[in-house]
Amino acid sequence: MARKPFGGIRKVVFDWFAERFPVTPWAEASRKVFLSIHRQMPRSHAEKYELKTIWYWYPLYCLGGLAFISFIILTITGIVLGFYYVPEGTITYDIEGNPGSAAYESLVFIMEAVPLGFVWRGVHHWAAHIFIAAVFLHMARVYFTGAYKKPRELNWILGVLLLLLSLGFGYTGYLLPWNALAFSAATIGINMATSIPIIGDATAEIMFGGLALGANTVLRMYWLHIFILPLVGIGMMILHMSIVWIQGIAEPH
Amino acid sequence: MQQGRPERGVREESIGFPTQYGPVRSDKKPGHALMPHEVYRDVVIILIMTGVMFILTGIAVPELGKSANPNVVVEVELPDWYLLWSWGLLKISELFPPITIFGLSFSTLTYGALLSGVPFILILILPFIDKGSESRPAKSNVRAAIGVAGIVWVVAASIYSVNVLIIPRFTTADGTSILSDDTLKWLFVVEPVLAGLVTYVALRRLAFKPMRRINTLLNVSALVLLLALTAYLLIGVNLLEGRDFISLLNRENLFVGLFVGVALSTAVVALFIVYFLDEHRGRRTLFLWMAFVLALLTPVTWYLMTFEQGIFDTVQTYIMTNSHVFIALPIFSLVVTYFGQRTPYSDYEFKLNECYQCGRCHIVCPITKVEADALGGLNLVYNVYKRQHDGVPMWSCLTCDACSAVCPLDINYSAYVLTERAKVMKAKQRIPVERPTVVARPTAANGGMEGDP
Repeated sequence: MARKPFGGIRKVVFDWFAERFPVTPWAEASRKVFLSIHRQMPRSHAEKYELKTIWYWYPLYCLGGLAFISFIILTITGIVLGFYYVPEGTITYDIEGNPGSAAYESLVFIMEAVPLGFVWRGVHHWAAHIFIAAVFLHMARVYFTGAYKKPRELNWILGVLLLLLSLGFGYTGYLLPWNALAFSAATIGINMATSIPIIGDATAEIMFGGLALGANTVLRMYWLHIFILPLVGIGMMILHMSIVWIQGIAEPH
Repeated sequence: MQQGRPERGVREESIGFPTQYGPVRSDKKPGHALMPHEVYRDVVIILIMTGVMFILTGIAVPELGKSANPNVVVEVELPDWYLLWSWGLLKISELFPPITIFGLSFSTLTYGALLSGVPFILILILPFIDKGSESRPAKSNVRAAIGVAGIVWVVAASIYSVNVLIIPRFTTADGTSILSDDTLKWLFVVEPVLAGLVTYVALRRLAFKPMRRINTLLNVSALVLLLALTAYLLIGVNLLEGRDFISLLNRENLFVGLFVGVALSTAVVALFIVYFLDEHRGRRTLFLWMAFVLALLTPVTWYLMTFEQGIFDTVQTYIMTNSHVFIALPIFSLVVTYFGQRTPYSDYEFKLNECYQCGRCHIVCPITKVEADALGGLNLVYNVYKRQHDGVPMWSCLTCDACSAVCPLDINYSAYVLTERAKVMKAKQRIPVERPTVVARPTAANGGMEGDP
């Protein structure tokens, strides 16, 4: 019997780690918990009930998954764009009086100077559109098949909050290039925020970094877009999908 | 009861689709393994998704546009498409007067912000309003109708948000606008209601429910509404403005009358179809009427566009301004008639289609224990219905209803069996049967004994 190559080295390395971080008992314990509650990969409706006929709505059951795949692609492309983007919205004027900002200039740099920069931005852009379209359609599917009913009320509420987060992702991302359209959208947004009685001014201060648009706005939007929303969003997505796993996929009879 | 040649199930041999049913099955447990089935499928989907994104990037690179400039006002303010509805609600908020209550001022922007929150609050509390168990849209058509109306409402809000882009596109030759802002505002009300009603009708038909009453109700309502609004628009407005009717009878108004007449007669034709024709003749008549309308209006429109530009402008201004009345309502009548016209037949088809083959009926069925022909299958009634059985064992059914008693979907099989048997018997009665020769009853008179069989 031939000896496995690097067997000794692997054992040495593994033992070195195992002495310092004894993961085996923990892995065993979690495996026991896992097996004791009989979790399994969710089976599809057709498998569960041994169906001969494939129901015509089944393709619409992949929309949540499509949204998740888009989100992963958004994360990857977003990380790459993050290497080049500068969240600085102070508007400066050149000698001829043309406006510009560090944020906008960094976008120009991505589009024109970074190798394949326009592809990274393009994929990020279109993945965002597909993401939100998939989320909308996913919600429509859940609504029309009545999948929000008992016992899935909590997951529906989580889903609605995730939809709000998705719109937040879209809006904050739309403002980041700090071009003319972004500025007008920001103007509408800050005006809507300040118009709300009592909490309006505080909302504008938190979201837009002041009662008027300024250099802080882009920084706030950037931090919301790349840290706060992903942090909350990923947590809620994990919860959302765990509940689907535990409760099973709802399919109408 | 020979109902047709038994067919093999399409998926009998594929993974997860066994030929045995119920808990006593002996073949392997169904289900796909994670690797390779699910992994391969998901990898394909992920690659296609990524490919689509790259192709879209290649076709349309997102433009950057000019830099933000606080000193220049943008001509058209435009959020991304998924926020257009909110932008539309902000614009429609002009309808509400700004007020101040307890020192809190409510401006147009406030109303817009609050209105955008309303749909979210509604969908958040949805599970606590609409309770019960999940079901397919055909079984809960009110919910589906409200859903479609909601989607149309969101689309209407999105369309209204770009009103400054739409209105300039609809102009006469001399640049006068033919589509008013008020007409677009009615998009929030008319089309969602009509779309909801159409969905209700179409799904009701899908669920094999009686259609005649709802069809008549909707078509009569549409016709009455159309007649009332036409009377108001053609006569009432002129009366209110104190015009002389004789002077209105000119060539321009005659052409307007032609188009309005087509709209009115479309609603009348739809009602006629609902009341007098069956499904197939009704739908055929409907298409013939649409062809007739096209054949009539196309040359007239061409004539007006070519030779009578002034009259054409008047006509299109009139029709487009009142498009919710003269375009949306007749189309609504036609669509309701198309979806709603159905010859009433058995609702068993719908009910039997609900079966998800749990196999409980097979376990309790006494016939499957003794009838060699019925062994090994699912419910013999279901198999006959699905043409996977020649139908003979259905005559052995005792109609004991044991299957219906255990059916999780309350499918009433024995009623189906009795109806189908009655149908066959009725058909047989019409066929002349060669009757056997009458043999005289054996009596003492003809040499037999009383009581002989």
